[in-house]
Amino acid sequence: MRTRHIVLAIRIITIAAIAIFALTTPGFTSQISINALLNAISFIGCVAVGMTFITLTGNIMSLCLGATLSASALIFLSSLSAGILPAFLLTLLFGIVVTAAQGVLIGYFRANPILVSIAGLSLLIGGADLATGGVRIYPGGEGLQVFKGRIAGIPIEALYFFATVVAGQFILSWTRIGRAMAMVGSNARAATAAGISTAAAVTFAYVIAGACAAVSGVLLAARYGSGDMELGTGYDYTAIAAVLVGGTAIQGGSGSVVRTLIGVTVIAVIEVVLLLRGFSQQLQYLITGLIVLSVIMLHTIGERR
Amino acid sequence: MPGQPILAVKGVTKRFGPNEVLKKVTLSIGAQEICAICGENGAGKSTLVKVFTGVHQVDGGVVLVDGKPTAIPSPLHAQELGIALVAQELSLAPALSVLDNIWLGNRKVPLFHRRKELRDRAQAALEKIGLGDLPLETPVSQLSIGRRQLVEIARMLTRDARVLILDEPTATLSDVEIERIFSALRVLKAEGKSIIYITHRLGEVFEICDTVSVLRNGELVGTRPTAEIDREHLMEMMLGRNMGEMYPRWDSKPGEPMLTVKHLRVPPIVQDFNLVAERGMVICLAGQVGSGAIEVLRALVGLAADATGEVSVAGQTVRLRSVAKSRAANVQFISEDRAGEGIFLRLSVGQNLVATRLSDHTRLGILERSKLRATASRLASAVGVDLKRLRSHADELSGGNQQKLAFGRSIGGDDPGVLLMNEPTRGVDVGARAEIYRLIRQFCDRGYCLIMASSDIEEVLGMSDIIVSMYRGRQIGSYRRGEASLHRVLADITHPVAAA
Amino acid sequence: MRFVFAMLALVLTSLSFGSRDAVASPEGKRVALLGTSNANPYIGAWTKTFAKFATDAGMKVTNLNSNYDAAVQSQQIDDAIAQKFDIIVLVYVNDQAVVPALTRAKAAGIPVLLIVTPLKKDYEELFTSYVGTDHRELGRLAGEGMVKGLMAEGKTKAQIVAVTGAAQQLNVQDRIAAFKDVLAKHPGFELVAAEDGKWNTALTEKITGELLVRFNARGGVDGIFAMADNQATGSIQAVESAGLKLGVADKGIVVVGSNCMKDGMINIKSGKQYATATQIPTEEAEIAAKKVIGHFNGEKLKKYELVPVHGISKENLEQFTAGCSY
Repeated sequence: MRTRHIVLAIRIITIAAIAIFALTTPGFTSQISINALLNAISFIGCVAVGMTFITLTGNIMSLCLGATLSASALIFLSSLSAGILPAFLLTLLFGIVVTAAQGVLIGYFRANPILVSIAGLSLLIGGADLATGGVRIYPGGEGLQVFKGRIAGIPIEALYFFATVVAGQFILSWTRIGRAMAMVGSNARAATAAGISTAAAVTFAYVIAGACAAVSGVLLAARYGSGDMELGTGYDYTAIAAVLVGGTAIQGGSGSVVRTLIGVTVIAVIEVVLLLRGFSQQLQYLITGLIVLSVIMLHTIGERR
Repeated sequence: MPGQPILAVKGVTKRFGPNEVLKKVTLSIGAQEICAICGENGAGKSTLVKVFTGVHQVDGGVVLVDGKPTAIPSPLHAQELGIALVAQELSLAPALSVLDNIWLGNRKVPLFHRRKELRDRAQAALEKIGLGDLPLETPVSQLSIGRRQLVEIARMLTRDARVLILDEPTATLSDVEIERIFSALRVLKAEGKSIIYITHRLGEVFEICDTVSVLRNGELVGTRPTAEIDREHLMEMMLGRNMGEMYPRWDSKPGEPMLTVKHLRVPPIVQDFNLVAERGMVICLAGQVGSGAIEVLRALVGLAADATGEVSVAGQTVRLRSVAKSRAANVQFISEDRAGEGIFLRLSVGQNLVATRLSDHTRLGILERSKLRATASRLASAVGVDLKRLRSHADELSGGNQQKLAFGRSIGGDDPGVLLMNEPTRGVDVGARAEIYRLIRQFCDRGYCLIMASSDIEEVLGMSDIIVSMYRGRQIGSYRRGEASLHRVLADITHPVAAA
Repeated sequence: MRFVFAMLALVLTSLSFGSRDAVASPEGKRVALLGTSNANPYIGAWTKTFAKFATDAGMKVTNLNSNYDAAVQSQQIDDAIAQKFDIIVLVYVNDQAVVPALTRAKAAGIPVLLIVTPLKKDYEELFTSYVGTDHRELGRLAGEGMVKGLMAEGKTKAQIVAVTGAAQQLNVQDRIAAFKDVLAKHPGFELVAAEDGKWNTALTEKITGELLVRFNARGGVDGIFAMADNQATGSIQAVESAGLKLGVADKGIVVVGSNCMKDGMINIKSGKQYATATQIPTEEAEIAAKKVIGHFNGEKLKKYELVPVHGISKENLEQFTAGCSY
């Protein structure tokens, strides 16, 4: 119990320290800076919310969400000629099908989640190469403004991200399938013995992750008006880092979407502050890495008690 | 008992926190001797073994090796002294060959060694225990459990072990395999080795051992040569304790038949199991590990993938092999593996309590959280879990309280159903045990149909309206309350006459 | 993962067996084209064009990608050596890690044609020829575009920031060094920050936003060098989000790129971006294919076969629109 209090104290101090460090950084609270921060959080945050579900159900992480995001952007842009809504729905369906197929392999056939996601990644990259011949895709139709701009001064991307967080947390705490996912992640055998379909729960987690990645892809494509398969490069690792920094257990079973929101914010704030304070490139990478590592270690120690 | 003892303990005491698990135990093993150590679960047998093998250090008394007081600070040290444990959970590496496994972890293999010499010595060890025909290259994963145990013994021989400790070696073996182990042990004994043989099965004590020492509650009850003692006497030594207090008093009130099982097969253990269980009754399947009692209950709740047979609950046929279907038919289950299969350690106490009731608290896929909380509170009070702990993580609870969660989860429907329990008090301390027994009786009075599988003979006698004794997958006997004698049941589950 | 790629490489290479040996003619010659990833539009377009021209000339092209894994790439080079390809055309992943494999190729007598990026001077003897753009030249053109834009606004003092491609790449370092050299000739114009945007649009937008804030209190940012045109799109978004003035016409922030893409063409046309430079994959690949054909016809290749580059601004936009359409 005592270690636990110490860990809690360290956590509060850490958050407070980061907050003070941020707020005393000149320009951090300026509109421009906050907007840049919100944008950065939004795109990576959506993927991280999806990743939370994968981690929570005990499947560690997916290396395929970044590629799903990129491929979704390509699908969205090239199907725009059919109209904005059909294109959006088609993209959503695509993202869901791609990851749900992986969920089925992992849930029903007990395939290793990491290997399945690597296979998914290779298939997506290969498939996109075949389909596009490796060229950048530009919008095949109009109407992208729907996904750009601001409402009440807040970027639409950020609004969308917060909606995702709310929806994700709702699914997790208020729905039966959400509870089932936490049970499967905590103890899959006990969940089976309690009459829960573990395979269905795992598949559903991947469905959510796919939907999140797809919508992130749509937003990125709309914002920059073009897309290629490198759009989502690096998103998988940043997302899992955010999930872990938030304190979702890598073994599954314990965690929440709100925690991931905190994790994404903490990482983004640190990066922004280091940039604003003019640290050299090398130091930025080094310090961010060290902070992420120590926060995750802190959780591990707290878990062990 | 020729010559001076090879290994002995004198007045050894071992404490874990406030619990004394060994109390001034004194016993010794000579050369060319097979010494049985018997006792119930929790009697202190495993702790004693761990003292011999250097895992635990004593809090009082001395360990004597060759008559001299000796400290055994680590398992490595024990290996160097020639004391070797053939563990219950085998420590072989399945992917490696027999040869590699025999030499794995042996500290005496020099960095530059001659492969040929190692092969010869491994071959010699295998021949000694009757495995001379086994190719050294065979991967261990291809061997039966019995043969693996023999390979493990061969490994100990190459380490020049003088004292071999076998912990429940026959628990999961077939008759033929047990016979192989016995003949190997006889050869080793003739060679001058000492063997400590830990077992539940009394028949084996008389078949293979020279002396038997009985532990009870951490104390040594006594040591006798097997030639001077009979089975009845040995049982009395093991069970000589007051059985009142612990178990609630009750009157059997048989109700209408609730659960009918016909021709249940659970490969590879259970061949043909039949049972009619009534409401308001506690039925105990009494049996050791490997008796099939646990497997029967697992199959009834849908957790055995290849079980076949006819099962009906309240006249309705229930499909086997589906947990969801069984649960829907109001068949609830408490697993024997609490940490592995029972409790969600990273979820809260409240979430654990309602784990099987989610479908009753969902509308359009959305949980009715206030109703869930009310149910969790109700179940917590029903099984005596402090309401303040509803939000704590389940892993903060003691074993007894965790078991209460498993109970809470299985009761509380409006319609009393079938409750299946595997080893309901395993790893639970005495106080919580009594509470759990009271709970079981309460359910019984409310019209539940309860079936429990247990290897704890005292519990079986103390709790059941009907006892079904089982041995290696077969039903041996069936007794109504009062008809069963302790000796009879113990004989059934350890060494039934019919099976001899 | 590496194992999978290595297996894939083996399967693919074995498919291209069965060539005929012809003397002093490209006919039937086997070309190993080892890339990083065709998911990169630049590399993708390059690969497609090269394969077309080479195949038309009767060569057999085997294309393998390492997905930015240096170890996989070394393996692929070794496989190409073992299979006795007639030439290796290579975009390396890492300039250090590739050295041992290139040494083996040289020992085996297999010519290596580097594309996209050359190696450092110390390793010049390890490749037969580099066919591609001079990255210093691209950096110089970007610098000159920047200076021209700032002077058009009448500025004599300016703070400039750069958001680069992946910072560890030699071509990125070359471009930024040449960009600095140009600025050095114009006292008053200063490069105040260079951050790693990893060729990524969204990351570039975020970094640009923060850089704008960082220098807001210190006189503000006057110019942004976004290394590729997709990054320029990100920087432009950031400037617009910040509500700052953009483009020379408004005397706002000057944005320049250094390799053209369709984004850049659109942005230059609308005045949001001031300049960029040509690095046209289809053009480079065509030249590279011709050099390979020439090599098999017995011509001697120069160490550096540099593809001419051009600065692009609003005035000469039309003539590059076709090439910069990827």
